[in-house]
Amino acid sequence: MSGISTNVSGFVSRLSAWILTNVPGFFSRRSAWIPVFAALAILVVMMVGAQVRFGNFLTPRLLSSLLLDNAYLMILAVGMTFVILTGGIDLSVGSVLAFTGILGARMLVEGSPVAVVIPVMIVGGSLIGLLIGVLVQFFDVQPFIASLAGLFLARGLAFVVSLSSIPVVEPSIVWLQSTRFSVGGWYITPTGIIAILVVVAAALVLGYTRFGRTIYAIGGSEQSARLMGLPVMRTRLLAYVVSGTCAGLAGVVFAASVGAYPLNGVGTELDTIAAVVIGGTLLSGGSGFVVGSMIGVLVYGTIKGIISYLGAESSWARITVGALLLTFVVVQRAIVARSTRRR
Amino acid sequence: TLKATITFIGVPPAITPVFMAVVVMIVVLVQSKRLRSAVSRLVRSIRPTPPARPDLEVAP
Repeated sequence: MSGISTNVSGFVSRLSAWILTNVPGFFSRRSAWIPVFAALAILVVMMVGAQVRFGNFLTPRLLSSLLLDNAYLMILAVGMTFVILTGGIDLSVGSVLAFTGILGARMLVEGSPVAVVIPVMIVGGSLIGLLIGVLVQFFDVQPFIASLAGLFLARGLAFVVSLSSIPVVEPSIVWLQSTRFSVGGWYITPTGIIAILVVVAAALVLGYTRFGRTIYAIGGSEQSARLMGLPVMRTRLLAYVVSGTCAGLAGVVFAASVGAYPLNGVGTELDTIAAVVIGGTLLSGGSGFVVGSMIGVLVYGTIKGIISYLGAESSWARITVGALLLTFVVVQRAIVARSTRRR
Repeated sequence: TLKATITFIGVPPAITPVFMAVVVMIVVLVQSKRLRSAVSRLVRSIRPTPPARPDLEVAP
């Protein structure tokens, strides 16, 4: 028995020594990861705290539902990460989600095949993203104003398509949300799989492709990126197209889960931006990770879950997210100031 | 005014955001340097150049 305790204490001391030796070095080399790990720590603390408080929070069923309920937000957050990394912003994603959803539902009602409807929904989102990108890149319009115009346009077009809600009853669309692949109490829906695939694909694109590295370069210093001969114009345009495409895809996922209504997704753009910032992406661009945005979405979903468990009003979820967002913005300022001092 | 006008011409008020978007885009495009310089280039190319006056002598 004493031998086991000696082994355990030896392991703990070696582990703590390794952490003290390597972790500070890791964070000093890669300071961009600090906010991501901070978000992860907050997520873990919230989940453990909720488990201690309620006793039945950390169940496979509830953790699976986090992904199920927030799959559309995760897809939106991926697109938003691309845009914010270039130093821009896209306020249109919530409206594009509503527009593509209602457009698809209307086409399905009128008898169009799913194989046509889904690509049309996604391309519809891409086109609005392209319009915003053209305004930003070619006409020097502020991203805030250009995407605000995109927001108005998509919301108005949603009402042009239909003034009332349209139920989505097409089996292959409903299948995306209703099918559950279960393993030992855990489950995942096709929408959850789509969200994870989008996150993985985006992480690979940002980390390992020329396009992804150019996005970081533009966000870090656009002037330097131009002087290095990087394709700034094409890349920034594509970032907005990626965001629009993700919004179109999120429209498919959202329509599969709650149906189509022209007022769907009001305020979702702000939830998305909050999740991306909580996940550690700098609003000034150049620093951040898609994985962080995914953690930000999970933090957002966990806060909503805890508020729901407490039986408090849902407005408290927004207040908590707001407080967390404020904290993260201050932390980001500190990180930026520190890195500026080092230069 | 925009909303009242749109309602007056018989368009459902819910569609107002489309017109808002069009107005915003027109305003920002008018303000953009690229469009203004393109328009001024176009105007210069359309406007006929004045013919040279034969009675004027050029100083050597």
